[in-house]
Amino acid sequence: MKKFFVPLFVLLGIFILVAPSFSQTKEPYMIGGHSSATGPGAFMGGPMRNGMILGAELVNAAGGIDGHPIKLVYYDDGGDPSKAVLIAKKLVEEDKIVALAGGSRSGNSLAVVPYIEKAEVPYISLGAATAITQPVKKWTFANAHTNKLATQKIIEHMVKHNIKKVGFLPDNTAYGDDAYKSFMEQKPNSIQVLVHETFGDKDTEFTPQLTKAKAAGVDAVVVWTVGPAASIIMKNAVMLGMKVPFYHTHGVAQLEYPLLAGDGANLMRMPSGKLPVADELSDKDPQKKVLSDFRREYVSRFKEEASWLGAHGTDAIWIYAAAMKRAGWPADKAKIRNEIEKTKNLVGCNGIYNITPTDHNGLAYDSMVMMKWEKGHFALAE
Amino acid sequence: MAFETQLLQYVIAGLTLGSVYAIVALGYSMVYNATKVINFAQGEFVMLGGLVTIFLYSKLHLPLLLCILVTIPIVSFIGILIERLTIAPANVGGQDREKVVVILIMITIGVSEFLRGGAMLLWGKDPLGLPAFSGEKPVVLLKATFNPQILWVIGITLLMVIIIRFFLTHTILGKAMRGSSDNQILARLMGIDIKLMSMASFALSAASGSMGGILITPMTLMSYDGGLMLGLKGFCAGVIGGFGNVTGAIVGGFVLGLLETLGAGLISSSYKDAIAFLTLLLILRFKPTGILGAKAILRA
Repeated sequence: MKKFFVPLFVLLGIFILVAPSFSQTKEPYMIGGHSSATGPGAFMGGPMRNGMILGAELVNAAGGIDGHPIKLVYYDDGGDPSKAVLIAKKLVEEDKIVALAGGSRSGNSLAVVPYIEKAEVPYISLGAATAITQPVKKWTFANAHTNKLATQKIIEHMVKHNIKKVGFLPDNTAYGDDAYKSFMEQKPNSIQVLVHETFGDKDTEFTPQLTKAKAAGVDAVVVWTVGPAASIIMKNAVMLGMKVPFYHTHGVAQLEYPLLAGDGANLMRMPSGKLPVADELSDKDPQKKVLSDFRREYVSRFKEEASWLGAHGTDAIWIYAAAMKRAGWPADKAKIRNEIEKTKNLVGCNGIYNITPTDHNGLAYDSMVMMKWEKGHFALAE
Repeated sequence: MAFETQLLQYVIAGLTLGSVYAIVALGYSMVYNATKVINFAQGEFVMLGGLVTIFLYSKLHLPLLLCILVTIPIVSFIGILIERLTIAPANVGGQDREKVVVILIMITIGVSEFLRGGAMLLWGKDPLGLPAFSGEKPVVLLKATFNPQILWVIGITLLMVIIIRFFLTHTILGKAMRGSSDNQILARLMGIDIKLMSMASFALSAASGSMGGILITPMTLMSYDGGLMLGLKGFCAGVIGGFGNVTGAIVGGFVLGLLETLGAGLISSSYKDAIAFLTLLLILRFKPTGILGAKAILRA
């Protein structure tokens, strides 16, 4: 019997020695993730979750951060702000994360921020509300295109096309209100808002608001909402025989909205990150390769079309990976936070990030392009 | 655009919205007439009507008319299942009818949550559409333009009201249904099978709700949570018109729809829901039985 045991022990010994090179045994960086993959806003939270998962997988496939993999611990907050706070606590206290990303709905992000600031954990919010990073809070960052950037892009396009009379139709949520204020603050005097009418984001009939805009003889309409309303408005506009351009939010820069709008899609214009028009970008654009790689990986991993939503999730992980690499091992929350503030020219999917102590968002206005819908797909609008 | 044209445009939009609310209110009325229960899953029948048709049309590629004809029995069957599995076991006869009714109403709220969640798992979270029945070329009426689908919506709604009214007042089954609502014990003594009546009312309200969903989906799209708001507005329409009254349902629907669009067009869109709900409060204060309602909703 002894004869038998010796080779067995030798084999076992070899296995123990060799095993480390088979799998990464270096300790992982624990990153927490939360978004509303179910409940209200699920259409945003689902892709954002996928984006975070993909981001972690891509970093790990490329060898991790100096050999340390990222371990993403993700929970669905169901669109409920109080649940989001509980999740953040669980991630910090039980899962011992060193960084947190998520919060597809702005409300959920805003609920998490006070806890995060107290717990002193770096947080990259995926929510779009300006209030998340303004005023600047020590531990909170955001990587979404704000309403301010988007309305700035729209105003630029209006000036270029000599549009002077505008109808502004925001939904009656904080999101629509914020955009209206941003637009009014930034617009030149040559642009006049003749009609300002709101609607509920669950409404199904927008003819009264559009009739008012049409009667006022506007050159363009701005619609600020994300959800079915954005498509139904375009159908209503076609029925009223309207032919003016309709500027939408960057939130609508997804295939489903123009596809559901029927003929109305041809009137739609929207500012957006460069993902939907990646093929049209010049080869010199540093984002071109990043975007086409991201789209390929996302589609093959999740079997659904990649959008700016998933891209935000992936960008957040990339920002962390770069900051963690500079901060070095062992993972230290304060060091990671300081390094995020030194993020420079990081080429992400939704833009090139330059985060500073005074700007915790880091996306510039040139990270967006104006798009239109033409022959069944998105195209750059001159 | 002349003011008269604008006004006409608001009225057409109001009648469209009103038809949808009327269909939902009609569903509430039927279940209420047979069981005194307010079925808060009514909006979900509308949602299912739209989504089941979308599934048959875009996944199985059946012709649109066939999809519609298949969808209505499917949703009615779901209505029957709901009644058999959730309402019937809790619907015990006896003196304490009002207590039972409250429990049943709570059950319907649970059922509506269940249907919404189930639809989200089956159809996903994105809105989906259907092609219009007769093209998307705007119809012109005195310079006002509208979607030809609107004619289908208003026409079929009116037709449904007429059929259901006739059913309730001129057929044995319809009369039996109303009887079982008035007094369950007495109805039982007269040989009416009140369990069957309850089941039939759910089947009928599911059928009419699903028809509503099929009619509006080409214009308004449909998603898993599309029934929620329609259910609430339809409930308001029912209260305004007089709960349990079939003609009242359509009057209430049109009043609510017109208030919303005229309020948005002539006053301000920010106040349109406020105007509608203020009217509801005024009606509840001064004529709690609704415009056409004759008797109290729940007698103490």
